[in-house]
Amino acid sequence: MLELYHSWPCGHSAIALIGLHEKGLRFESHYVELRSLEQYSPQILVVNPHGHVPVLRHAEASIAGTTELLEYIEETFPTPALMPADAVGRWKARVWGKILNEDIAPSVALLAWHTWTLPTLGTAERARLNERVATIPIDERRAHWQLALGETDFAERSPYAIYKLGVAVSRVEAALAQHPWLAGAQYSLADIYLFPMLVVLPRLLPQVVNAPATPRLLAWLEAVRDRPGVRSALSFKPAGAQLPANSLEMFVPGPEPIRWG
Amino acid sequence: MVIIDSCDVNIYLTADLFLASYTATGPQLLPTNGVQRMVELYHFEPNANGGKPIMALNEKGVPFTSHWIDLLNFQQHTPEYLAINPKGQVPTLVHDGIVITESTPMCEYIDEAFSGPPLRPRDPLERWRMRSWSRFADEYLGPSLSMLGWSRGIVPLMRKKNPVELERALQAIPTEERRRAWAKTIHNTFTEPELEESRRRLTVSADRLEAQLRQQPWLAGSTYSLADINVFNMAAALPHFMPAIVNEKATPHLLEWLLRVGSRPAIRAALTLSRNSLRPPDSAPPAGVTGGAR
Repeated sequence: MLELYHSWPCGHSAIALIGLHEKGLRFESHYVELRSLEQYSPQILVVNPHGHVPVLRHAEASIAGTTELLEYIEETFPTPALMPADAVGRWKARVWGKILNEDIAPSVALLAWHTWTLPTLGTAERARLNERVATIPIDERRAHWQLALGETDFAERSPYAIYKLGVAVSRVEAALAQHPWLAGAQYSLADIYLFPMLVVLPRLLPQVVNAPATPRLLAWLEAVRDRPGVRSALSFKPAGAQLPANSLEMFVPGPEPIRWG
Repeated sequence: MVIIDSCDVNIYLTADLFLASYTATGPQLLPTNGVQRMVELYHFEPNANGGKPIMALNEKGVPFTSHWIDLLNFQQHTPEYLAINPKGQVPTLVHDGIVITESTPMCEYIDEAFSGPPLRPRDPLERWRMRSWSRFADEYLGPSLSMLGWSRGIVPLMRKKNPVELERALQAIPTEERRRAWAKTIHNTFTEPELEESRRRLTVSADRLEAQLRQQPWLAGSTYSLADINVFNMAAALPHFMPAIVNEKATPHLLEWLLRVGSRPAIRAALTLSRNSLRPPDSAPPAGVTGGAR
C-alpha cells in the first residue's frame, strides 16, 4: 500500500507524481494545501516532522526528500527501470539530483514565488497568511516564510538565482547535445527531477530559455511532456484540491539556498 | 575516556587531529600500485568532501593514485586542474579516463563500480536513510561547519599571503559560487549573525545525530554505509568547534560513533594522507587532544 502526501502537480510534488505514474503504481493520494500552510499542521507533521511534501508512506515508513524518494521508488519497484544500467549513467543522474536540490529548486522557487504567486495575493489573503506563518512550529521554515512574505531581500537575491539557473540551463543544453536524455541514451530519474522545474522557465526566464538560445532544452521539454506517465501525472486531480487556473505557475517559498560553500 | 581540549584550534576540519591519538600504528601507506594507474584521485586534506572518496576507496580496498591539490595555494584553479574539473573543486576521481566529480554521487559510483564490501545497505528503507543523511551533510551540516572553519582557520592563513597575489587568485576562480566564498575569506567579511546562525545549525545537527545514534548503531540503521562516511567527514570536527555542545556527557552516542567510525582501518589509513596544511605552521600538535582508550 502506497500513500502520497503531495500538493499541486508542480514543482517537487510533480516529481513524485511523475515517478509513481511512470512506474504505473497505484497509490492513495493525500492532498496538502500549501497555500494554507497545511504542511505544518499536526496531521502532516506526524507524517513528516520537517513539514514538507511530497512524502511517501510505504511499509509504515515515511519517505521524504524528493530525490531520495524517487530512488526509493526505483529500488523498491525496479520495473520499468528509471535509472541507467551503467554506473556512470547512474552517477550522472544523481549529479542532476544535486543540481536540482542545490541550484535549480531554490532559484526557481524564489523567482516564481515573487513573479507569480506573491503578486496574486490579495491584502486579506496576505494578512491571513502572515497570521498563519507566525504559528509555523518549525523555526527555520517560519523564518523562511517571513522572509518570503516580507519581500525585503528579493532584489538582492534574484540576480544570483538567475545566474544559477543560467549555469544549470547551459549544463542541460550541453548534456542534451551529447545524448537525448539528461543522463544518457535512456530516459531516467534525471529527466523527471528537472522537468517540473525547467518547464516553467520559458515563461519565468524567457531571456534565458528561448528557441534561439536553448533549442535542445525546449525540444527535450516536449519529449518529456509527451510521455504518457508524465501526461497523466500532470493532469492528476487530487480529491479535495482547488487547483489554480495554471498549476504550473503555482509556487510557494521553496527550499532555502545553501548558505555557504 | 576522551578528553578534548576546548582551546581554539585554528584549523578547518579536524578529523585528523581528533583521531590522531587513536592511530595505534604509524602511517599505513595505501597500496598505490605504480603499474595500474586506472584510478586516480585529486584531493586536498583527507577531511570534509575530500575525505569521503578516499575513505570509500579504502573501504572497498581499491588502490588509487593520489594527486595532492593544494587548495591554499589555489592549485585547483590552475589551467591544468581546470582541464580535469572545470568547476575547480576537489575531489575529482578519474576512473579509466572518465571524470567523476561531486563527492556524494562519486561515493555511490565507487560503491557501484568496484567490488569489495558493499557500502550501501540492501534494505531500501536503510538506503533511503543513507541518502537522507548524506544530503543533510551536504546541505545543512557541511555548509555551517565550513563557514566556521573557513572563518577561523583559513582567514588567518590568507592574511599571511601577499594581497596583490590574492586578488589575482580571486580573479582566476572559474565559478561565481567559489569566487564569493573565497572573496569572503580573503577579505574576512563574515558577519557575526551568519556565524551565529552556523553555530546554531551545528547545535541542531549534533542533536539530530545524537537522537538517531541513540536508536541504532549506524546512521542508516543496522549497516555501516556511505552515510557514516559522509557525515563523519563533517561531524568529526564538532568536538573541536562545539565542545560545549558535543562532548561525552551531552552527546555520548555521537562521540562513541565518531570513535567507532574513526577507528576503522580504512578511515585511519585515509587520515594518514594528511599533510597538516591547515594546522598553524608555528604550533605543535595540540596537546589537549588526548585519548585514553588505547
